[in-house]
Amino acid sequence: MDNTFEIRDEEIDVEEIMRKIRENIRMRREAGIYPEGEIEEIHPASGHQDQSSDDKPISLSAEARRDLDYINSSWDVENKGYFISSHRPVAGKFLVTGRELVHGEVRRYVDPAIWKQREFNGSVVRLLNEVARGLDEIGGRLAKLECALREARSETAQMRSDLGSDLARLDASVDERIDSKVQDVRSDLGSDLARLDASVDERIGSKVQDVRSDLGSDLARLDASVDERIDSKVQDVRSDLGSDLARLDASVDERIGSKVQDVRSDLGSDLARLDASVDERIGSKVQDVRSEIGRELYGLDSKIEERVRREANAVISAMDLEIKSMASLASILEGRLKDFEDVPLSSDAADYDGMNYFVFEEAFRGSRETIKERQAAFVRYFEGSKNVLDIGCGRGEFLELLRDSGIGGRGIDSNEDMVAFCRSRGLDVERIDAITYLDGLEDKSLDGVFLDQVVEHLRPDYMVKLLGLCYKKLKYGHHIVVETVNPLSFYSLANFYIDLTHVRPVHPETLRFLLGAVGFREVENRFISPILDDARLKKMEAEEGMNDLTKQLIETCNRNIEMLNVNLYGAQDFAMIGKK
Amino acid sequence: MIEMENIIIAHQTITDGDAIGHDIMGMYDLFTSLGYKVYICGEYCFEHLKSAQIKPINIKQFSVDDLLIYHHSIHWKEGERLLSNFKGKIIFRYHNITPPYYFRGFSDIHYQKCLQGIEQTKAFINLYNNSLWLGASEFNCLELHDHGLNPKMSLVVPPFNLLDNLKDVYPNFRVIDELIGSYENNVLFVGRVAPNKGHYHLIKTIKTYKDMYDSKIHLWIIGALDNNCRPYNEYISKLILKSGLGKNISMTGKVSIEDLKAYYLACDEFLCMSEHEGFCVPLIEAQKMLLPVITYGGSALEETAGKNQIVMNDFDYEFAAAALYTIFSDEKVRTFCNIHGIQNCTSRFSSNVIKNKFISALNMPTEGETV
Repeated sequence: MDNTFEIRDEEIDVEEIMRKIRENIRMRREAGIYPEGEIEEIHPASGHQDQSSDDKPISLSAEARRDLDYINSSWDVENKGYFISSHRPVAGKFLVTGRELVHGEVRRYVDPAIWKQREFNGSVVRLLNEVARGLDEIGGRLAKLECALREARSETAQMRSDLGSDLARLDASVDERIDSKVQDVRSDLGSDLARLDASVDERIGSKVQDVRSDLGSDLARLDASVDERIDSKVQDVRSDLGSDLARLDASVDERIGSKVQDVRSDLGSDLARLDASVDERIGSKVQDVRSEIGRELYGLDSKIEERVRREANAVISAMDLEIKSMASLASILEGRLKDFEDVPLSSDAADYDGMNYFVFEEAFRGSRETIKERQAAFVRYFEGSKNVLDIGCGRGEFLELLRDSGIGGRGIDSNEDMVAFCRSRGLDVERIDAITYLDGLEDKSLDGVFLDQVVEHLRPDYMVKLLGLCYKKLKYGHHIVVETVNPLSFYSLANFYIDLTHVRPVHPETLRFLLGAVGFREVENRFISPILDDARLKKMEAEEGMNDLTKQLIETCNRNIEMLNVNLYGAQDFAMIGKK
Repeated sequence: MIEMENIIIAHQTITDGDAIGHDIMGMYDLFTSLGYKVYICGEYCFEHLKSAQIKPINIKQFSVDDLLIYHHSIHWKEGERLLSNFKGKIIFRYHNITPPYYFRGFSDIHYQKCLQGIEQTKAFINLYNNSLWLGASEFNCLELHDHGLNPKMSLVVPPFNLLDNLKDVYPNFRVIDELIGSYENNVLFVGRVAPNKGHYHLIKTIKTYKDMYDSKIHLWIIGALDNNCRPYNEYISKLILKSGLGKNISMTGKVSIEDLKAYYLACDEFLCMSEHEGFCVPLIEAQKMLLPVITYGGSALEETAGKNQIVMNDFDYEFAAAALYTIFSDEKVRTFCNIHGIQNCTSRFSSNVIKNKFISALNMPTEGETV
């Protein structure tokens, strides 16, 4: 039921509404307001209206009236206006005589038919006139009847209303009288009942008192007799049982005393023998075990210490070697970087003509499937979007992920080979500079921006301008995802310089600040692409039987390994996500 | 549910936007949802059901295990052959046939069709005296009994309708703006323009209202104009003009469902003065759209309107005008009519109620056999 209204039928009902409507009509009439008369009737060809509309007066239509007038004026078909005459002075007399002769002959044959037709027409016209008069009269009578009927209806309504109010008054009066009578009867009955009640109570009280008094004396007598007989019986039984119990008690005591003495004496001698034998055997066994454990412990202790020392030295020397080799690689690459810094830099890698960047990515970045696996985590930020821009889309991995998820996206890249590759896979990609492209877009037209491994290729001023434009072109409530190399991991930092087009790593806090500065909110950092455990420094495991000192050494060593792992082998990349 | 393999629903024409078309569509959807194979048989079928349409001549291919639901609303000669060629079980769905005298002088075609239709009803009752008849209303069933049907062979099942779908229709706001912006009291009547629909009484009521109350009233007559009944259309148009109500009454012709919803939403009252109705779906549509209803109570109208509605026993134009005025001016009355109206249409004519009635009707054992 989709009805959410509250019905309060006690306030109004349909009869009340009908009464209101009738009251409204009555008031209008009293104020002299009536409908302004009948609509001028239009008579359809025939149809139902003529039959059903009982309020139309019974009378002839205008057309019928015209017809009636016509037949009243033309029913007499006798030609009385025909005179035979001639304007010719001489021949006229002969002509008139001839014509009169012919006319007389013709009339002899025609007149009877004309007379009959005239009589018939006259009768029909009289009849029709009579019918018309009758109809008018019936119409008039009907109108009067209708008028009388309306008045009767009105009077009936009035009488009904009067009767209603009389009945209501009568009803109220009857109710009042019935109430009064009921009240009187109730009052009389009340006092009678009270009297009856008191009398019944009194008689019941008296009877109960008598019965109670009789029963009391009988019960007292019975009680005294029963008590006396019980006391006598109990006394007899108690006396018999007392003498039997005294005899039994003495016999039992005597027999128990004798048995206990025998058992005590046997147990004492057995226990003394057993005690001496157990002491001797335990002493001998304890001596053997003690000397054996002492020998074992000495040998184990020295072996463990030697192993721990050996493994710790191996780990530390491996770490030294790793640190030395990475530091050396870093210093070599830093040197290269300095050489590059003297060359004027453009926006990103694609402008560097010295290498084929597409081939480079194929060799170093990883397979497309690996990249897609890593990027899949960011698709959720663009769910339901229709216009996501992938800046520096490379081989189009993320655009494919978007397409597979039903999200609309397009990419831009400055590398011709990348663009050609993407287009060969049916992706919407354009070769254009990012700032030029964004400048050409309408503000608040994008519903997502994705930059994967791009910002590390950019000069700082270019990057700041790019992020600002991304904010300007994004719709409110939509995301930007900026993913780059994690410089907090020495492993990543060392590999950073494998790509000659990398300008400089971007610190997570720097990127967070830049996103916040251009206006993005809810900025969050996610470290991604962790290094597999096999490639990280391994922790030592404590074994059973190691002494406490050894265990402490292992624990300290593991803490150091953990710290080194974080700094040396931390997550390879991080992604900074902001929302407009 | 009853045991059968195929179900055929037949009517001469199956069109969208009329009560019979919606009833057929409701049955089709119900049977299809229950897993039956359903066919539609008629001379014309609208697009939505076209894929299920079969020609009447193909009725012979069905077996004794199949069911034919024959919708009867007009004379259909082909229908007689259809019924005689069908071997399976037959159920008649009766939608009422307008008494022919309404069309006398307005449309010879309709006059003949209705006259022959009534004769055909009597013939079907005689020929298929073991078949169940489902009337859209008690009034329809009584009419069938008058034609000789055994009362035990009839049941009332209201027609399937689009009440529940109306809420999903997006109304035409241009229409709403126009009506609300007119600052007039807008009165609505929905139904095809035909002589039994009481347009004469509607016009007289509006004239009386204008004479006794005020001229800020507008009657919207929504419904298809029938080319086969042109003299009637012209008669009503002339009557409106002669009555000086050219600015107070508009006949829109057939409108889209979006426009129809807009009229239901923007009008203030629904006035029905039809002389003859077998059910009157627009009346319950108005109740569903929270329009207070004033109606003449003849034929099936009082039964459809339900309890606690303003129903007139005769064509009392002063009363009808006063009722219009009372509803316009008294919010309590308006709310009362709305609440009882929506209660009536949802408790008696929602699709679930009709589905249940229809299914239980099909399961009802008839004389000597089980359907």
